[in-house]
Amino acid sequence: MVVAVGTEKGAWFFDPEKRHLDGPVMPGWKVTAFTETAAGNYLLATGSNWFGASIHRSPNLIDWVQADASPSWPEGGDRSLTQIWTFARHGGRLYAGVDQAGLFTSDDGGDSWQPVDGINEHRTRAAWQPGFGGLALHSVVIDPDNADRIWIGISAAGVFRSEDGGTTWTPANAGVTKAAASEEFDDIGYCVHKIVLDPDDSNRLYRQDHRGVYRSSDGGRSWDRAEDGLPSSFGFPMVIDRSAKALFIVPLASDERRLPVDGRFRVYRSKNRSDSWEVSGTGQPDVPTYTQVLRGAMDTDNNGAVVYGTTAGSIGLTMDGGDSWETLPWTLPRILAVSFLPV
Amino acid sequence: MDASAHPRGQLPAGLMASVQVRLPSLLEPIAGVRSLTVEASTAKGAISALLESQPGLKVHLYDERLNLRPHVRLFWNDRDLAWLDDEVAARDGDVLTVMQAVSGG
Repeated sequence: MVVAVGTEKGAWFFDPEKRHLDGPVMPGWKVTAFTETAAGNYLLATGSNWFGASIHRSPNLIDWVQADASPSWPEGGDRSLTQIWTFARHGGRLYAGVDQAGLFTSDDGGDSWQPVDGINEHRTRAAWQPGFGGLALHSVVIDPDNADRIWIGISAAGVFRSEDGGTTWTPANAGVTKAAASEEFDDIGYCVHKIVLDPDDSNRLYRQDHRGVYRSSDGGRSWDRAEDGLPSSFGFPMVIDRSAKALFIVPLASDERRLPVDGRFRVYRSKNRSDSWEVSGTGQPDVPTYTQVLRGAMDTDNNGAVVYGTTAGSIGLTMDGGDSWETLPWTLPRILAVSFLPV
Repeated sequence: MDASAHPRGQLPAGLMASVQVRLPSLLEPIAGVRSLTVEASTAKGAISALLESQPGLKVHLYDERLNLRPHVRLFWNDRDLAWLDDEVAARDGDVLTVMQAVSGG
């Protein structure tokens, strides 16, 4: 595996075993998401304060060319595509979640993208409110055993689920505290930051929300708080590692401060499906560390390796499911995305 | 048309000229080059020719409403094209510069 790191000013890559850093790729560009395709190519998404958002393709993580097509809103319309937030893949189908909030699919490895009208034109869309980071569809989760079951997260509308491959979508937020209530629709107004699906139980999901940490045991129909042991329920990233059977999050003091609690940067881990949380292992920063991890900047290889990148450009890595951590020696620009990619 | 934009005057309508296009460094990975030559009879035609030969640039220069992005400028020789008639005639050696406007502090 290679770890891909997307930053405010380009992408870097490193082998977690060899610890050799390669890059930058696309220097000067925001690199916001990565994926591999069924054919073995790699895609990365770029954005910019000056230019548009687009996708670049590589066969080898070295030579990159802009893809002929990227997700896009219709010309002449009132929507603008400002960022590609996330990729997901199920078999040969790629998903891209974007800002302004939308979901797109590609069945040809990214050569063309089609809008998912069921969510993009959802009855509640006009009432979706942007979060601080924009009106972003930032999370896409697909049942590995049933591609018809999909969950997406939109800030600050909430989680939506589909049981028919994306044709129809139902808000899935019961039990969650609202952050941006809608007067028109009672079932939206939730500021979800990240959702993950339990690899061993496709009815069990977890979500880091603006207003708390939650879990669901019924496919997202209802949610309960799962915050025992946490110093704060606010944060952004959340990942689950299949091998370690562990969840990881990075709490922040509050939505107003967005700093580690008391300057103690800590990854928290749950090894009991979020019944309780504790500081993950050893080796985390032992000096005041006032930085944070964005929602796309944490990933796992599902074999015990977990990596995060901070807004200060540092990278933390565990190879043993969170028992021990180390901070890698490099300092990169503000980190927006990290992904394990197969090589 | 602002005549000062074209001190060498106009060519007969429809005559194609070689226009050099210069790109900012961030767009080099998209276009593969920092400069290229297009054939056009007007500034507007040079832009069209640029996007025809480099369709991947369109999303970076224009938004969904086909407006030039706020921090992108197109210069025709040494003048911001926003202040010129884009039907200004092209002459061999004219330069269309795509500029990444540096703003903020």
